[in-house]
Amino acid sequence: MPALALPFAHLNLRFNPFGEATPSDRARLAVVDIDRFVDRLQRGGAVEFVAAHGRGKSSHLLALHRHFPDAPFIKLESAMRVAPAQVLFIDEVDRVANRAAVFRQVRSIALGTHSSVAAELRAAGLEVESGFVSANADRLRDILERRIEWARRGAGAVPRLSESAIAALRSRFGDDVRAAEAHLYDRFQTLSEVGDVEV
Amino acid sequence: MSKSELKISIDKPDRIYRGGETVTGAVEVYVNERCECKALILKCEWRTHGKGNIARGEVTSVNLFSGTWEPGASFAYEFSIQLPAGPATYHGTYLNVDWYLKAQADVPWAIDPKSEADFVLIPISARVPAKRVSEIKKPSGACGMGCMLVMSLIFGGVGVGLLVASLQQSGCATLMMAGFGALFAAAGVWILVSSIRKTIAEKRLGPLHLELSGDRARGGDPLTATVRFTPSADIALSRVMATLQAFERCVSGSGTNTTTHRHTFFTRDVQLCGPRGAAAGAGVELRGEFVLPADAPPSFNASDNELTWSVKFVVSMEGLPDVSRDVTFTVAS
Repeated sequence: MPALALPFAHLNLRFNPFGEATPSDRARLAVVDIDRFVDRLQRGGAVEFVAAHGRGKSSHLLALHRHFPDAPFIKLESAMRVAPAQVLFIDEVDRVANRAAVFRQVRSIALGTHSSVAAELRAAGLEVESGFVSANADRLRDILERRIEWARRGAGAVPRLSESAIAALRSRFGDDVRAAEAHLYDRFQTLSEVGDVEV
Repeated sequence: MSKSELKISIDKPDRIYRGGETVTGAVEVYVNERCECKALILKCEWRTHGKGNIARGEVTSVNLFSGTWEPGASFAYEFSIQLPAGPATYHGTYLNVDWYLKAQADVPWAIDPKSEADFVLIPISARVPAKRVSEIKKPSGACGMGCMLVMSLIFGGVGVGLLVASLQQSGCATLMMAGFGALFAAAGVWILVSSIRKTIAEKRLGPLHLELSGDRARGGDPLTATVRFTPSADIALSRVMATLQAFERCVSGSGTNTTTHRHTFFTRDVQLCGPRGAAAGAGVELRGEFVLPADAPPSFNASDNELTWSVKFVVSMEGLPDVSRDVTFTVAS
């Protein structure tokens, strides 16, 4: 239990960059290319982000939702029924009990899902843009560096992830961004000074 | 393009304040063209960061200015905010609690400029009167036993069902179903036997009267932990332990992505007794002394984030499973 000081000041940071972020911060921090998805929702139709856990489906949805702030954003915690709306955002759509009915009653819908529901969306008469979310080395580096910048305390150096560190993370965690961030959280807790972060 | 910037200056260079003190400073404003400001709001709040979903609490909100800013001049609005006693700043492994001043100008037809500065709030050193904590922990009731019985029936039923079904199969399917059936049936029996043994242990021990000398302690305080019980049958105690412990517990995500992170950062064991007998109907009272570490962080409890202090009592008996119970208490700011 060390003496108190400003948090992470020794790293020129304000907090551990890889801790939990609020939904609005996650939307701001998302490294996404969503122009075609914004266009699809504006013209009417469906957008689905398909990926396994931890790859960035929710971050994509949150970033897209910033363009439609009035649309309901539903994060399903268990199998449940959803009331349709003109434009609707649903994370974890795999859990929607009445999704065929919902798909038929919306003008535009954006979804996060573990497996594609494009066939069901097309059967409901919606044109579909599918985004298969993954993180290559460049995107992973962008995501992690944006996090570190978010936590920056002031001008000057902050801890840095080298190319070899990014490669090591890719080799260890593949495209599972959440797992890589969890690992870096633990590393940053024990960093004693600014410099290259060993992973 | 119009541009406005805010900067918060805190007078004390180390930015460390004790609960109840007053934080002073100024919000400095820079604009490059004429700018209407509906309100320049300064808020004082605590916020968690770390592994858990972020919790926050706003303490003060004041409007420092409303009016027009002209370019070329510098503006500074002094503030003076008395701080509450807590929650105190805490920097742990999964949980951190920090204090912030946040300034935001409400500027029409533009993105509101904002600024934030953090500071440290350390606990007040004043003493507070403490009450004894006394809890009676009864043996698990019929409900607990009933749940275990239902679980054992489910596992046993599935196991027997698979074993019976395997008789009607042939080849690899028979072996696989029989294997899984045997596993499930064994699990059902294990759950049943464990719950019966646990119930017997608790019944023999009787209700546990647990007592701590104070419900609100501070770093460096002594703490006496007492356990009393009257066995309903003769028992042989292997030992009775009391463990003073503190842990962080944070919950991140929601729905299927919910994860609970727990980190125990302090434990201290005291043996209340070694091997001895206890006769049926004869009361047993055991006592142990702890001293809280001088820098014990205060208890904290907010949505999805907590720092908890407790004493865990574990009664070990020969031939029976351990019986354990926790009593939580508050380490005050």
